[in-house]
This record gives sequence, C-alpha cells and structure tokens, in this order.
Amino acid sequence: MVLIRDRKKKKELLKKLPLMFSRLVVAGIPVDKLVEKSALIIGAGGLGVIVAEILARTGIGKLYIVDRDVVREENFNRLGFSSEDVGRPKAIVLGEKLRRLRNYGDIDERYRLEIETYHADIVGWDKLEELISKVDIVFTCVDNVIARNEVNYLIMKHKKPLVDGATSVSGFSGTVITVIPCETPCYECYYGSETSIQIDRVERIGQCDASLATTMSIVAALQTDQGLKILLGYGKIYPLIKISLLDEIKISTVENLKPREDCSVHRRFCNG
Amino acid sequence: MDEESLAELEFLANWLSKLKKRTGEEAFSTILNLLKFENIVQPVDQDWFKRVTEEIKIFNLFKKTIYGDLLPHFENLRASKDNNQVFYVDFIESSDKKSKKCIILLPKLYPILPPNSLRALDGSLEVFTSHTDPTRCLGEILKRYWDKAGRMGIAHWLIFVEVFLGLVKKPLKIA
Repeated sequence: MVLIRDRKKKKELLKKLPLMFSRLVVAGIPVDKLVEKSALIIGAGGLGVIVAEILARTGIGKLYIVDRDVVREENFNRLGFSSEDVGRPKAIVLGEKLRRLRNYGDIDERYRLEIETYHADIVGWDKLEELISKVDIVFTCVDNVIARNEVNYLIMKHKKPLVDGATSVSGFSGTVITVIPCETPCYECYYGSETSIQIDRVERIGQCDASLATTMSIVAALQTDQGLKILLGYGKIYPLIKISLLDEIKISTVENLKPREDCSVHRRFCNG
Repeated sequence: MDEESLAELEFLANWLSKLKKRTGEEAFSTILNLLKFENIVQPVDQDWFKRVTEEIKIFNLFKKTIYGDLLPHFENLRASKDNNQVFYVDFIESSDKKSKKCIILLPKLYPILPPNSLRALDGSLEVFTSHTDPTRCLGEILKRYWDKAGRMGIAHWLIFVEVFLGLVKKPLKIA
C-alpha cells in the first residue's frame, strides 16, 4: 500500500469518499485503506489527544483509547480538554469528542469511526494483551517508564509496531521512538540498561514535569506521521527522532540502530 | 529466607540498630542487605511462584524485626490467585485502626522495575511510583534507591510509600 499518485484513481476516490477526506486524497492518502485499520492509543493526555485527533481526521477505522486519569485544571495548558471536562475520565471525554468529529450527519457507515474507550491503569490490566493482539499499531503517549515497558513487552510478544512519544522534564525537548519488533531497538533496548544506546534523558520517574503544548504538538505530529507511514506503507521509518525547541529549533533523526544484544525482551521474543 | 534465619537476623538487626546511620542511603543499604531477595524472577516467568513465596516471607519477616516500625500501616500481604501482577495488602489507619484493603500492581518487568501503584479499593488512597500529579507520586525518593538488580521487593517499596505518606500528611517546611 502506497500513496496514490494516479490522477484518475484520485478522482474516483474523491467521488465515493465523504467530503471531509477530500484534501487527504489530493495528498495521495488512500483513505479507503486507512478506514480498515485500527490503532490503540495508550494515554489521553497532551500527546494522546493530538495523536487520536489526527488519526480520526485522517480516516482511521477503529480506535481504542486507554487512560488512567481524570481531567484536572492543570491539564488545560495542553490541547484537548476544558473546564466542562474536569473530573471526568480523559479517555471517555476524548472518545466523545472524536465521535462528534467523525460520525456526523448521515456519513456512510463505512467511514464512521468505531471507538472504544477505557478508564484503566494498563499495568496488570487483563485486557491490554487482548487489545494489543488485535490492533494494527500501538501508540504510547504516557508519562512514565513502567507503562511504556508494560506495552513494549506485549508489542514484542505479539509483533505489533509501536510508536512512542515523550517530552522532557523541561518541556522543551522530546523524542519519538518507533519500534518494529525484532528489527529496530525496542523500548527496553534504550532504557533497560546502563550500557544502552544513549539518548537524551527525556524522562525522570515521578517528577511533576513541565509540559508545553508547542513541543507536545510537534512530538505527537511526528509520532502520528511515523504511525501512518507504517499503516499505509509509504515513506521512511526512523527508530529515533529527537526534537529540541530550546534556543535553536532542532529536529534530528537517527537511523540504522540495531536491537541491543543483551536486551532481555529481545532475547525472550526474537530468536537469533 | 527461612524461619531458622530469623533468630540470627534479629540478632543482626538489633546489632545494626545500635550503629548510628549517617544518611538515609546508608540506612537503606543496611535494610537491603539484610532482606535482599534471592529469586530474581518476573511475573511473566514460569517460576514466579518462588518470588511470590519470598515476597510474603520477607514482608512478614520484616514486620517482625525492629525495622517493622518502618511499616506501621501495612499488614497481611498476599498475592492474587488470578493475576500474577496483583498483590493485596491491608492499610491500617493510625487513628481508628480500621483496615482498608489495597491493591498493589506490579509491572511485567518487576522487580527490575519497582511496583507501579498502591490503591485502596475504596479509592481513599492512591500512590504511584510515577505520576504527573505530585500528590500521588513517589518520584525521586524512590528512583534514587530502587535496586535495578531486582533484590528489592514489595516490603522495601512499601517503606517508600510510608515515607511518602508521612511527608504528604506532614510536609516539611523549607525556610
């Protein structure tokens, strides 16, 4: 599956798709294929809200969203939530917004967004493995190492691609890590060892970190870009993308990274 | 660790208690060395049951030693029969001695990673190893001391929870 280049094909697709997808077809996005895909978004905060909204607007067919928190006033500096949402589970609120966005009027059933939302902590959660096993891709948009490792373990087990987004303690920098199981380094390869591949320290356990909507928007956009490329089979996938907005604007990509040989998760799930 | 070691352990513990520890790190390293785990096994491993047995033994042993004072609020640690990543413990309120059942969630990579969270089933208590809300997050206090080799367990983690709860109830004022 690649981008549509042929003008005739684009015209045919434009005729049958709802108007909301017309500009995507002009860009060559095969929306009719994307509606057959599903994604699991873990974390509905500053990153997850954007990833979910872009996927919904681009035509993903089914979304599963999980988040353990409720909306609080301190979330308002990021995109997605406002005062009427306070006290309600983030995943549920986001789900309602996305349904309103995609399932409007008499839009054809085929192009409606199917969405399931869960207010749950994924650690030790029985349903997590079932969800990961049935989706086409997983996005982690969480704020802690434990949740990332939990998901990493299961995507490696079920050989599902993962795109992780993270922003720094300072709020001005971030990373996007894309994991293609047994081909690129997994999350544990980066963080599971003192001798692991060195990347900027993007996270410290248990700090009430800064968060800036500017950095988060860029990280989430790049995260979704990598995810769409995996789902639709076009463009280049980078194991690691670094973003810094402090002083100069820098976005750098890292290629040709291999899984760490002594990574315990790789040893368990990738033979040889 | 078996019951036979208890007498020896208590003797050692009493002896160590007479030594003046200069720093928290020194004191914590003493506790770790005294009660370190031998089964470095994860909830996803077949022989996880060995670790479960050791978790409960060490918790009970810990409560019996002089260091038990460091865990005044927690009693009766037990494992879930249905989910390897779940333990239960009772939280005893200091004021009325009422007991609250709490759930402890462990990550799949525990004990290399610390436990994820402790929550009272009635929702009145929530502590996370990592959370963006600082009133529920152990944070740096844990990160500095958690043993990445997996020799610490739930009993050790609950000490951090006790310290954290103490600080939340009686915050330190920095002049």
